[in-house]
Amino acid sequence: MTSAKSKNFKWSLDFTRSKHEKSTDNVSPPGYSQLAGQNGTELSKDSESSRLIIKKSWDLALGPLKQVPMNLFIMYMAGNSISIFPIMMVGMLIVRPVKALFTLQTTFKTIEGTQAWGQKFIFFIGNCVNIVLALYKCQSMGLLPTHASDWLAFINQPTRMEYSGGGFILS
Amino acid sequence: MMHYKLIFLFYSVLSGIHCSDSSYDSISDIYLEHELIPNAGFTKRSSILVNLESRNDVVSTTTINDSDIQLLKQLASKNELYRLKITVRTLSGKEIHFLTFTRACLIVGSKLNDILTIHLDHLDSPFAVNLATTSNNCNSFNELNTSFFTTTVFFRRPESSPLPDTATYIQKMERERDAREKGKSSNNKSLLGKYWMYILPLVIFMMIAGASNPEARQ
Amino acid sequence: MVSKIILTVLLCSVLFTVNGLYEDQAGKFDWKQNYVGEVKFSSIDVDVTTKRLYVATEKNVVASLAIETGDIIWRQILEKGPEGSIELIHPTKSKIITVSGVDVIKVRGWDVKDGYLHFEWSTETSNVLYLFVFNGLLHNVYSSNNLIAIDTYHLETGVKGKATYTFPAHWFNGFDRCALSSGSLACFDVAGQLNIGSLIKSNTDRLSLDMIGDKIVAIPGSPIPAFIVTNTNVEKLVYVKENKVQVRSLTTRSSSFIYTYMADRHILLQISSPMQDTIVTEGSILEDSTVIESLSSKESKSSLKISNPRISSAFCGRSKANTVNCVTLVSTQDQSLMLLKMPGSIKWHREESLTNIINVELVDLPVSDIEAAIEKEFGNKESGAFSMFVRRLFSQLQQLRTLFATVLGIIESPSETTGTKSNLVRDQFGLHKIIVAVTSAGKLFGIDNLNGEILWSVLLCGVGTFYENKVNGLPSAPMHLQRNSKHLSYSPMCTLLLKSEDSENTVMFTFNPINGESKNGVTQLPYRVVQAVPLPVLNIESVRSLILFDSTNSPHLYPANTPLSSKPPPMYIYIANPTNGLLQGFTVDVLISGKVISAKEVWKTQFNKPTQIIAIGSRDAMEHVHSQGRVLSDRSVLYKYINPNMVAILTLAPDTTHKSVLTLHLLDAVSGIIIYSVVHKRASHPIHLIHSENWLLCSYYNDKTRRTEIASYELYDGNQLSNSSDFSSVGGSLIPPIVEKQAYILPGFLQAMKPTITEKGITSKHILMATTTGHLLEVPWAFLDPRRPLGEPKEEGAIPYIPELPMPSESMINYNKSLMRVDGIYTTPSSLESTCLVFVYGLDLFYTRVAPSKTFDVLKEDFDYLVIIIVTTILLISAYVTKNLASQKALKQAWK
Repeated sequence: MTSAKSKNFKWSLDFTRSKHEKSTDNVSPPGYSQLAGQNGTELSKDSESSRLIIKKSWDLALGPLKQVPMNLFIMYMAGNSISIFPIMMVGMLIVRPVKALFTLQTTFKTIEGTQAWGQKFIFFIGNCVNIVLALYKCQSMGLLPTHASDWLAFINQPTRMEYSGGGFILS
Repeated sequence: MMHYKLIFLFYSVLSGIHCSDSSYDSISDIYLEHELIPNAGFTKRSSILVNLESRNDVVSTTTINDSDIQLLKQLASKNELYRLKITVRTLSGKEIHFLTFTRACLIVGSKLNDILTIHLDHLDSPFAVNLATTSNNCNSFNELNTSFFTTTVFFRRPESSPLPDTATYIQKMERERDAREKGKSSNNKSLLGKYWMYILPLVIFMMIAGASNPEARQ
Repeated sequence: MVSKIILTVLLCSVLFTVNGLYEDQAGKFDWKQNYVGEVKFSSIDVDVTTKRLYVATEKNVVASLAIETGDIIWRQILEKGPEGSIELIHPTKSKIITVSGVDVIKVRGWDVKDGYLHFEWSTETSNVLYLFVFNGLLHNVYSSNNLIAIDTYHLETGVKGKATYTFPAHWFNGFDRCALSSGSLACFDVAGQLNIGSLIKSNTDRLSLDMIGDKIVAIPGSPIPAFIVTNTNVEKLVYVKENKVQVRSLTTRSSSFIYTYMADRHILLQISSPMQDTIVTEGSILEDSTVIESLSSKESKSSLKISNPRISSAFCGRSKANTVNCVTLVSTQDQSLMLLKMPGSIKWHREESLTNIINVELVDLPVSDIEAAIEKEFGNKESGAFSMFVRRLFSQLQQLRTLFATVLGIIESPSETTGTKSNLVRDQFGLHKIIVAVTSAGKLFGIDNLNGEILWSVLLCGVGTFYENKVNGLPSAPMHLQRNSKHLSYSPMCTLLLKSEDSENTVMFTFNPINGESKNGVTQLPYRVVQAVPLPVLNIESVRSLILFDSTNSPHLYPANTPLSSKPPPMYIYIANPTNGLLQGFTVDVLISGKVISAKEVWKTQFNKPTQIIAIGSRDAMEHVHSQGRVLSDRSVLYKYINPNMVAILTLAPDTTHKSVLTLHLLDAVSGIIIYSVVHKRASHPIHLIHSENWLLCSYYNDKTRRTEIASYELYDGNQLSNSSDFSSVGGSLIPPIVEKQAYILPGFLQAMKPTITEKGITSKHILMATTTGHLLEVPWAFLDPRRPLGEPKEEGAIPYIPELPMPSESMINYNKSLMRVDGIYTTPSSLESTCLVFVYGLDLFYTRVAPSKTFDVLKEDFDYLVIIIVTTILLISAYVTKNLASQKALKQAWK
């Protein structure tokens, strides 16, 4: 409100503050305008900052997706052998997106702007893609229990319905 | 898997034919007797003519009278064993007696379709007869509507023993030696030629790193 | 290829070095006892200052023992079987000469000091009646063309003596009517006369005597012709002196021995054993029956268990006090050997019957009293809270007391009160057990498995005789551990099946395997048992009841009429007759009340006439299969065909074209279905069979290729798991399992073969093979796997196929302790999953333990406990100190 009125004057005081504006916590000293120090060229900063926020948010949202090629490269370099370094790499690949998904709420707090929903969605999708990639890596390394052999140890010996015994005739 | 096993079974059945010795006094017929009341003795079921020379498996059907079917059903409902006595007669008149059994409900459950496997030794004389049914169904013995025993007779001969595979092993060794000698001549490619797939990603990685570094510095 | 070979070699070396033993481990877990066998001939060497005695035994062994201790100084093993049976020994000053063999007589001279072979010569003979040595000449008495002919050979050179001389054949009329002693032949003729004639010279003079007798035996090693004639339980001693026949009546039933004391005086030594633990000796002058007081003695020793002692050889001398002293080597019917000093006592005692073990069982020891108290405390759930609390306090007090006691060394052991041997308690890992061995001499032994000490022995004479194993003609002793040591309120119980001595009926001998005691343990059954099968459930007294199948095919339960703890599943019993090739299967219904309803024959298999069943391979009842399948390289599973009712039947049939045909049948013992059969042509003895998990090994001698081959079979169900959680053999699938087969060459000859067994079956399986060269090989089963790939490996870790099995010296688990004439190997699990206990018996006894997959559940014995304690304490202290320091620093920082 204040900003809209102050456009015509170099400075102005508004004593007719409506009640609902009380919610602003810090009351500016009289004669102080937030925009007083700004010149005309800076007027466009407002849209600029929201644009920046959106851009920054997009950066954040696209971050996981941007990691995908890098992850792919790491995956390729790690190879399929099971040793300490590939395991560490695969561990990182899987832990990072999972962590990101767990801290989704805190990350989403920083995302603002009109495209927030799309960004959140993209961020979520990107992390999911990373997890899928990591799982694929685990699969190709043979770390996922997807084969019959992985469940072999849990198969029990069947119970005997009949018992048998005997041998050579004793004579 | 099932197919594989069946093929295996037939293979094992057939594999013996070649070594069958015609000089042997071969089987002429099989006489079957079954026990329908526990411990009451055996009654005749059927007699199957066999000609080992011409055919290897025999399918025979015989009728069974209604009273016997009732007895069989009773036997099945009491979950008793169905015992079958087999007398194998040879051309020279020699008789060999065998005994085999299965659960009576299986006989009824498979609608009187059974399989007799006659095991022949290396001289083609029988030493064991086994009875099996075509299905493992042991519940539906009330809907028996046939009065024919359908018996399939298989003959199984023993396989021959494995032998230490020295010939293949020596061949393999020779092949490997040849391959090694060949490999020696073709193995003198350049280092780059051999390990390009490792070097190339490394170079690319370095390039990427080099390209991204100046930006970071700015 | 080089790389592959290197890989294989590396793999082999890796696999085998784990079996290798470090030098300082030798003798730590294993022990070996050497034996010589039942003594046939002996001689006491008096000339040599070292004092030795020489024995030749039924096991075809020539050995020298120290007189003082009975230890073996040297031992030479001759050919096995009748080829090497020793007929005669003749000691000379520097050599001990043996005559052995049946159709080819081999004469060998052994050095008395070290047993080296000095000379050997042989000659072919036939129809040999007797052999004896006189005047340095070997006399060969044989029958030819209605004559008794005698050839003489110079003993050391084999040069044939002058002429063959003959006697009329009617002199000899059967071995039970004749006896040869000191070159003189004594025979009963039809007229009831005893004729004695010398075979040394070709004169036909005969001494005769009116005497009726049932039996005549020569007194062994007698310097003059002397015989014992038995006539309706009256024994008479007949001897020839100065060409005159003398007869002396013997009062007691005893074994006699004649020793030349002075030129014309002989000492008659007699020994008898009126009771199992008593030895009575008597000595007298032969000629005038004067009793020599110093030689008469009676000795009782509770640890002694002997029957029918017999003097094998003796040496007498005059002592300073002018009394006659004798040293006698006594062998007994139960094949023990002892040195008796007269007057005096038993100097040493050797249990040579341990060379003839026919059945072995390793039995767990009972828990110690403290542990038993704890078990009782937790076992008794009905009692109230207060009584449990009191018991708890009591047992903990007891524990505390023993702790103090053991720390202070006041009481050696906690279980003194029960009267059992102090150290006979179960250890934590189940490594300490008792070896219960049945010997063909009719003696039972309890042997400590940790040191080989004989803890108890029981003589079976008077109880019963052994069954006969029709396959090899040896005695067989079916033994069943009916109750093990785990049941606290009952003592363990072991049952031996014997034949009654005076009828065909069966006698059950029940004893406690821990101490050999048998309280009313002899049960006479009114029928003859042809098969005994233990039930899978215990009865209410924690006894594993036996189904006894009598000769009329009716079943009985032993112990009878004791209710069972739960309803037993349907039981199927098969009986194989080795001689006529008949195999029968029966079903037996056992009620929970402990009654048996009659058996019903359900299947019958009849092998054709000349075919004999030579072996039955069934899986060890204790065996567990941990993994139900095998992982292939594509990570799919090949499921094992594990049929608990499957047994392997080996039949051997003579054949016109192939010499002999060995057939292996896999039979389902419940349904009688032949699962698989395979023919081995030209296969002959020695044949050994192993059946374990889902695989079989059959070793045989291939007559065509002249080598030992091992055929390996493995059974698989396929890639699909049957979805049923129950296994039933009746009405099962018609489709046979997939059988993988392969054969391997063993560079050697096998004496025995046995797989290792562990408690849970997780540890990989190794095969223990005893070879004729005295080695005990531990071969991983992976080397005998029929799926060893010839081309590309089908599964991970598969070793490429090589036809010949490696026999690296690292895998010989008996290192330099050669094991000769191995009769069998017994393996049993310990409580440690990694460890399997092995007992090898034969001429030598050997005990060891093996860990096929290394001792993964035990700390290494060189594990440094001190270092780990020091390190952890230092770490703990330093952690504490640094924590304090850090908090101090933080405090200071905060004040700044």
